[in-house]
Amino acid sequence: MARYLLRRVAYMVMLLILLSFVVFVIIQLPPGDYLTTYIATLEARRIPITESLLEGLREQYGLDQPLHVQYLKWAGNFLRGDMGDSFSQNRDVVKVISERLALSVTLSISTLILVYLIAVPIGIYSATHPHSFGDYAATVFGFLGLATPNFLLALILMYLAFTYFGWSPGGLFSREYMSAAWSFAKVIDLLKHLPIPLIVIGTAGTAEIIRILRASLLDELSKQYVITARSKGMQEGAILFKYPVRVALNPIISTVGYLLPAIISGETLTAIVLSLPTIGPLLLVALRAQDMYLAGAIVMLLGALILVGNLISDLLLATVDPRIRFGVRAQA
Amino acid sequence: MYKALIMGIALLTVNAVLFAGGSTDSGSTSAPAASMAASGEYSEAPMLAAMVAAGELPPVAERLPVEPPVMEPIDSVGTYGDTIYVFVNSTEPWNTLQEETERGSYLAYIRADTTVVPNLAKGFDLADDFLSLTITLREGAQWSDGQPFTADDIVFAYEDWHFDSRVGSGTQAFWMNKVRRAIKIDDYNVRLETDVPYPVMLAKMGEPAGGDWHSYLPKHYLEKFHIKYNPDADALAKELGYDSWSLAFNAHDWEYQNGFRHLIDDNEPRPTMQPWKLIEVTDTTKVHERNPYFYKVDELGQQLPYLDRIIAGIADMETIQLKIIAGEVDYDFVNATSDNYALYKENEAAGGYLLHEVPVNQIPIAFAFNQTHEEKGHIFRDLRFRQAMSLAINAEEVLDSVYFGLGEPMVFPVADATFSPPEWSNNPMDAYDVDEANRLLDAVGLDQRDGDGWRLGEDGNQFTITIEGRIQGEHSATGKSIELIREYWRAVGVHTEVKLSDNALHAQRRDGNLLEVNVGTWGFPSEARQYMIDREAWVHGSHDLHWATAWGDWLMAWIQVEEGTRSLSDYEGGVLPGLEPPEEFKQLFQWGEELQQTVLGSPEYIETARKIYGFHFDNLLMQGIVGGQPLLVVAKDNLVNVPKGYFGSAAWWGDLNIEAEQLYFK
Repeated sequence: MARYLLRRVAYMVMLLILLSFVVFVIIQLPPGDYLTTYIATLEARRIPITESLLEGLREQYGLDQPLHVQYLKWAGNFLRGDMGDSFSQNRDVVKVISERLALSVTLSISTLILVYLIAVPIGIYSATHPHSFGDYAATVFGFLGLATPNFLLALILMYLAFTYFGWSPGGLFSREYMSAAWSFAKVIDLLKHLPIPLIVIGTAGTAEIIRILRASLLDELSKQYVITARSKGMQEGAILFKYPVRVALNPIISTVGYLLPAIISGETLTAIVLSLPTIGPLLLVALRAQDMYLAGAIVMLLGALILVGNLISDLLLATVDPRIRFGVRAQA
Repeated sequence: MYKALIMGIALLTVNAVLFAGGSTDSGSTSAPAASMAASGEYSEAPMLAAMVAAGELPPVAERLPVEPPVMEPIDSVGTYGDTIYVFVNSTEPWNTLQEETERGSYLAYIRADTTVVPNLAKGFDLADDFLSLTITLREGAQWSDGQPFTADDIVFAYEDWHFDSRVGSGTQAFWMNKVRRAIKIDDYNVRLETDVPYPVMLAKMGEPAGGDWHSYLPKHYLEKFHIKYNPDADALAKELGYDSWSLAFNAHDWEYQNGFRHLIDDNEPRPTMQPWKLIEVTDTTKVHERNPYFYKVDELGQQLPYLDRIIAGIADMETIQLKIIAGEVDYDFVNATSDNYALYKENEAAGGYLLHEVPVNQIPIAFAFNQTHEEKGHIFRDLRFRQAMSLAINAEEVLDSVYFGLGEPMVFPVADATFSPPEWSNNPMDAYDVDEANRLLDAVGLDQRDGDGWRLGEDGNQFTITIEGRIQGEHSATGKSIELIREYWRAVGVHTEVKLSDNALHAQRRDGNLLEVNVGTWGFPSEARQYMIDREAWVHGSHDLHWATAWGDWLMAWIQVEEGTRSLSDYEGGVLPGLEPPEEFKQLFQWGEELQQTVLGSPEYIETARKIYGFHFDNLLMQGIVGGQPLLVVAKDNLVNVPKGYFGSAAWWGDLNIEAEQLYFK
């Protein structure tokens, strides 16, 4: 197991190095750099900028150097924990990201808990009562949830919520609390704004997990060992939770790998529509402005989380499913 | 009705005394205020009164100029209130109500009849030869930190910023390109001088050129960053994390400079002359609070602004639309779009707001063929081709299906100007005539078609054109209109593609002379605006609508060499960049130069303007589709002093804010 872990970590490091290079190159791929984007924005507002100022800025940001020099400088600083300054905000990238991190994580984790609480029981019910009314209802919900683009759902829900319940559309706070200091009233206001994001972000996830769980559990339920257990007179509930459900959870556990980065970035499009101050929209803005270090740091963070998430899900699978554990041992 | 309003704001009456070089000062308007000042009858917002009582602020009379300008109310004199909420879609400036805090406080206002009314400045004197303008300032006016506002601040802006190539912003060449010197006469008098007659500079006092970050800068705050005043400026810059003093200077010369560094790091807001000062910026909000030293009062002697603070929430564009109809937005004219017109109207009562239609002759969609395009330029330069492309478009349909009938079909959008002969009010190209369009295209030489009916170029290949626009257009309706144009052009056999790109990419393609057809929004809100700042659009294409990129590059360089501000050796290889335009276009450019030397409304002005605009009338270099559209302003129904008709200089829609200090809630 230790050797296996070591090997996985070594792979991860190599992948991260490769990733950093790819990230850096891809962010630089669009024509121009942050400054050309910045100037174009200024120009669109009728504000010209002189060559001398431009050259000064280019030097200050190190954009005048060749790509590989820029990369090495960036990667070197990155290793020392210095992710550089965001061009557009003129601030330390770490600060910019951490400002949004807490809200992102809170929102994602509460959604995640909600999704599991709803999806797992429904999935099990669907599989144990196939072709019943409840199953069909869950199926219809599942397909609708998967097929509806979240940003559209967000717009519709916001419209309905404000038309029928008078809820303030978008954002996490009413306008009175937007720039107010934290207080009990502000927390209550936040809670009032949470349902829509939770529903919107949770819908697709819930639908997906219901479908996955139903399919894999149905598979398991028709297997010989379940029939054997039944024929031995085991209680239906005990059979269900002791064996097939555990096995059927495997595909869901393996989703932890991509859940981790999703928790950080949130649903980007949805977050933009709902005006949620999470990491996702920040990444989009950074990419559009070619705010290199900010975008780079976020993508690297997400990349690292995917790798860590994959590792965790593999370890979890090994813990939950002895078959996988034994496979690992045999290999090692 | 609409045309009548445009006529009303056009420059039918010109203050001859003023423009002919007479002097003007605040005269009668400041008389009541002066008497109030003498008797100490000024009053202030409760928030400031509390600070005075606590000894944190000098009394209001000491914070105001000796003769403060007195507001001319749009509706009525108001009462103090606390917060106004607006929504914007990024922390960038140029959003609703924030424009004011950045470009406002112009030295003057331009009224609908084109008279220049002193505002921050007390008076102006334009020399008879139009070679200089003397600006008289108000004694006792102060920056938001209580430091005096004097002639030094104007001289500093010109001599140590515009004219210093190490920090120069480039705005000089753009906004006030003929001013060469700024000379301090005494603390309250300063003279701008030019080498060629430049009467337009007086009018420019009432638009962004006469405002903060062009005409004046807080010298007392910025001099520490400038090497001329502080020999240790480089060390200071390094300490603050900049490579050089010039970068540190540029990071502080503008309140909104990239990232609000002065606010976040220095913890010392840049002093301002605006009614509100920026006090907080986060990812989700921007907060402005009243400037206790704001120089203006109402006729009761109440110091302005009426409202304590502006809180701007940052939200997605679509969410802002929902917030508008939910009545959460107190005031908006940047995010309200004409394609949502019906939505706003429907929810007007429920949302507790009013939808005002300000007549500004907005042109929501116009296009231009790049005359200098390498491969297809020779076809684009054929007038018959441009006529055909106009005739192929069903403008009525665009108007009704995208813009709810707001506006009118308009190929040539300046019909109501003072210089327009009556025959310009109807351009024959306004028509929708597919047969004629086809006939003209055949005549141009695009008469061969392939099996699918697409026209073939001379090389026997399909003749394809690409419409290019910017994704981040402020008006989402643009995209829908472009789709329609593509279909109209395809209907006459011209294979048309659409390509929307990001600002940066679009600019790069434009500068590389790669654009074929570009689309943009545009406006002709007032003749004064065209006279003051939009000249470029007519003489070589504007930023929004480029009809001759490479000629524009050549002409802009050429005029600088002619005027001696640059020499040929400044350009790569000692040759002018771009392409040399044909004689008639050089002539057009010259007319543009001459126009600036004429007085608005004078016979010379009308004669020259008629040549320039007549050239465009005949040649369709910039082709409108729908024009005459009002600007939509959403304002809560209890918000008073919202501009509903002519506003300020109309230099930009943001000028709707130039009198935002008047806003109050009933």
